[in-house]
Parts: sequence; structure tokens; C-alpha cells
Amino acid sequence: MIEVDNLQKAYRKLHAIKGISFVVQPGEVYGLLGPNGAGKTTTLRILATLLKPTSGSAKVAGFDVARESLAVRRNLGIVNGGMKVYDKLTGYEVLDFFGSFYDLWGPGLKERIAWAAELLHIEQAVLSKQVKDMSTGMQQKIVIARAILHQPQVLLLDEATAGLDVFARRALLDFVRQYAELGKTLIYSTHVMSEAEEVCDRVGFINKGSLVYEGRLQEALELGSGNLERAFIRRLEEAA
Amino acid sequence: MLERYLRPMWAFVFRDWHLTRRYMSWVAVFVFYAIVNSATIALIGKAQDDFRLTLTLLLGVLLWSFLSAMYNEIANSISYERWEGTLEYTFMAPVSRLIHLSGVSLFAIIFSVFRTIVILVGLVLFIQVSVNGANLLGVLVVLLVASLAFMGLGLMAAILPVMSPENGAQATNIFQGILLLVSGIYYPVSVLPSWVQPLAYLSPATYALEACRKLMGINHPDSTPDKLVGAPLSTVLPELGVLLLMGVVLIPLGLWVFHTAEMWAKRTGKLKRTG
Repeated sequence: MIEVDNLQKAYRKLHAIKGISFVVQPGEVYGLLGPNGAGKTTTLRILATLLKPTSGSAKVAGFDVARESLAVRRNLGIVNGGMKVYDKLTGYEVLDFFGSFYDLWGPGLKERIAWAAELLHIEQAVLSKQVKDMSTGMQQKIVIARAILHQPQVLLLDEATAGLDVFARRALLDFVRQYAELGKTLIYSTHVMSEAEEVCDRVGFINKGSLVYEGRLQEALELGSGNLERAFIRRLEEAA
Repeated sequence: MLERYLRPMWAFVFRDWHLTRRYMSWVAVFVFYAIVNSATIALIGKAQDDFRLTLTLLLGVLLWSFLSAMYNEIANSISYERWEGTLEYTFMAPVSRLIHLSGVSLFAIIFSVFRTIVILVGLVLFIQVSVNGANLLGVLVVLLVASLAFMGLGLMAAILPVMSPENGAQATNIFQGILLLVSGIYYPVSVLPSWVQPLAYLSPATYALEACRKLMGINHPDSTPDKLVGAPLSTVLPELGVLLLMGVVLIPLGLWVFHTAEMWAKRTGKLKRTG
């Protein structure tokens, strides 16, 4: 579960987030949608303990992001379009390294790597390749495998399909639904509305640091006469 | 219970080992350069036909090679993460910074020991000097104690690239250069300009070198090219005490500086994956 309450982040004169609040339940995919610079990534970075909020609070799996950062990190995975893994390590070495931080080792770690590989359709032979020798899509799968290796309660995906080809993108979208069905809590942050339409249960529109709309996907679609992009633009124009 | 702390620490050691072996050709090139550079310095003593000067230079290049390699590995560990684009995920790992940096430092020590041994073997091809009578075990003890202080300095320098990616990396190198200058690696501190000399007493390398020269018997009047008169460890207790004190102060101080700067970076949004 994710609970965000009146969260604010300011850098001197710039207010990146202006008091947003939302809750995401287990088994739910929450679409955090907004244009570039809206505050999506800032919100997710605060949830991931990479940024300190200026005020307000946020809880991930029941732990406060500011005061219980280690516990938050134990229960969280994050996938970002720009995040990388060590180019010169093999896929297996990458997963072995990160698995060690979650009390995973020996046969338990091997089993977990096999589980992630199966879920993401990564062949065993690929895992023995160095990351630099993998396709972009396969590298992104390694990034995702790293994020879910410890089967986190909460998974944050931030522009996770950026740079992926159609097959890798399809695999990722299928995975998002599969992972939610395991009872996990997901935030899917994107500015690609068609992706949100496909995977999200609820959506929040964020613009200039403020949450300007929140509702179930179906309600949002009705707002735009069956089109999420239209609903998004209409709501942002109304809020402006 | 202990395994829960040691496993993540070893994970950092093994990660750095895997990365190092994948960059082995570059490691070989840098070690080759270090051997050649060390030999050219040490051969100055040989050319003067002065065993004391030769040993002073040899000790200087080897000790500096060890301490600077360790400092570099620790100080640049954050820069490496930035270059790899993995900084955020490493900082998001649910391990304390103590475990993270202990793993990085442990690999740095192991790597520096092997690098120095390879340089030593390489130097033997160019220069044969007798170390008969030198207290080599004592030298090892001094190196171990000195490495604690250098670890602390490395930890403080490591956070600089987080605060300012380019300037931070430059600052770590400038700091290393100042240490090399003021510590009297190849010359006595007394030849430095008087306004620089006080800085020598702030550098752990100064005390390490002074102690090692005594332990090797380099300046002992009875030492000869065939037989050195190395001092017992008890004679360098003052230097060891200072080095130990520096280590005891600098390591917690380094961790505190790192933690404080990390918190600052999280407040100001400087903790970026690239830069």
C-alpha cells in the first residue's frame, strides 16, 4: 500500500510538488500521468527515498519514507527508463549482487532469479551474457528483474517503456498486470496515455506539481468521451 | 545474524572484483605504467650509486602506490557508479552506508595489496637491492595502520562527486596531489618551503614514511648496502600512535561527512544517476 499525504517538494523558488495526496491499494495499478516536468518523477523519487520531501508525508508498505528509509527500500522496487545496470557484468552477476541485499543467497537466490527470469521471459543463456551485449529490451528486462527479485510489496515504474521496441513494450505491459494480480501495489508513471489505458485501475493527472484529477480509469475515460488523452487535456485545461 | 551484514559487504567486494576483471586490460596498462614510473624514479638512486637514496625512493614509490591506489578506489567509487549510471539503485539498496562503504574499502585494500605486489615484482627486474636486516614485518604493520587513515580520507573524498559531479572528481585528484607533495614521499619534509611544512604533519603518509624508513634502517649510520639495521617496532610507536589516532578519527568522520552530504544531496536533488 502507498499513502501520500500533502506531499511537497521545493528547491529554493521552484515548487516541484505542491501538496499532493493519494492512496494506492494492494493489487492496484495507479497511473500517475502528466506531461514532462509535471512532478511525476519527483514524487516517485521521494517514494523511493532518493529525495527528501520538504513537507507532508508518504508511506510505502506502512513505512515512512523520511524516517524508515531502510524498511521502505526493503519493500520497494523501482524501474525507470533511464536506470542502468553494470554494463560489464553478466545478467546473472547483476541479479546476484542486488539479491544479496535482500537476504537472498545460495539456492534461494537461484530460485528467485529463475522465477524472475520466467516471469519476464528471459532465457537462461541470456543471463550469462554481459549486459552490454544484450538488446535494449533485454537490458530493460534485467532492470525489471533486479527491481522485483525480492518480490517487493510496492513497485514503481517511471517511463519504464522508454526506448523499448514493440515486443519488449508488450512484455512489460503484460508483466505489470501479472504483478498486480499477485496482490502487489504498483504506480505506473507515464505520459503515454494508451499504456495507462491498458494497465491502470485508477489514474491521477498531475500538472505543475499539483494533482488535478483522480479517479477510476473508467470514470476518466468517460470524462474524455472514451479517450484518456482527451480527458487528460480537458482536465488540465480546466485546472489551468 | 552476522551473515546478514557480511553478505551484502561481500557482494560489494565481488561486484568490484567482477568489474575489475572485465576491465583487466586497462588495469594491466595502468599497472605497467606504474611499474615503469616507479622504476624511473628508483633508478635515480641507482644512478647516484647511493643505496640509501635508492631505498628511500623505492620505499616511497611502493608506499605511495599502495596508499594512493586505496585512496583512489574509495574516493572514486561514487564517480564509478555515476559513470555506470547505477548510483541511484546502489543508494537505494537496503543496506547501511557503513556496510556499503566497508565493502568498497575492503576491495580497495585487497586490490591495492595485489597491485603493489605486482609493482614490486616488476621493480625487481630493474633494480636489485638488499633488504637484509630490514624489519619488513614492522613495515607491514605500519602500512595496515596507515591504511585506516587513508580509508577515512577516501570516504570524505568519495562524497565530493555526489555534491558536484565534475568539480568533485577534480577535487579528489587535487587533494591526492597535495598529499603527495606535502608528505615527503621521495624527499625529507625539511626541503619543502617553510610555509608548506606544517601541512606535512596533517598527512598520514608523512608518519607512515618516517616509521617505515626507521624500520628499514635506511638512515641508520651502521646500515650498509648488504646489511640494513632495521629498527624494532617499539621505536616507531609514536608514529603508529598518531596513525592509529588519525584512523580512529578519520573513519567515523569520513562516514559522518558522507552521511551528511548524502542527506544534503537528497534534499537538493543532487543524487542523480548521471552527471
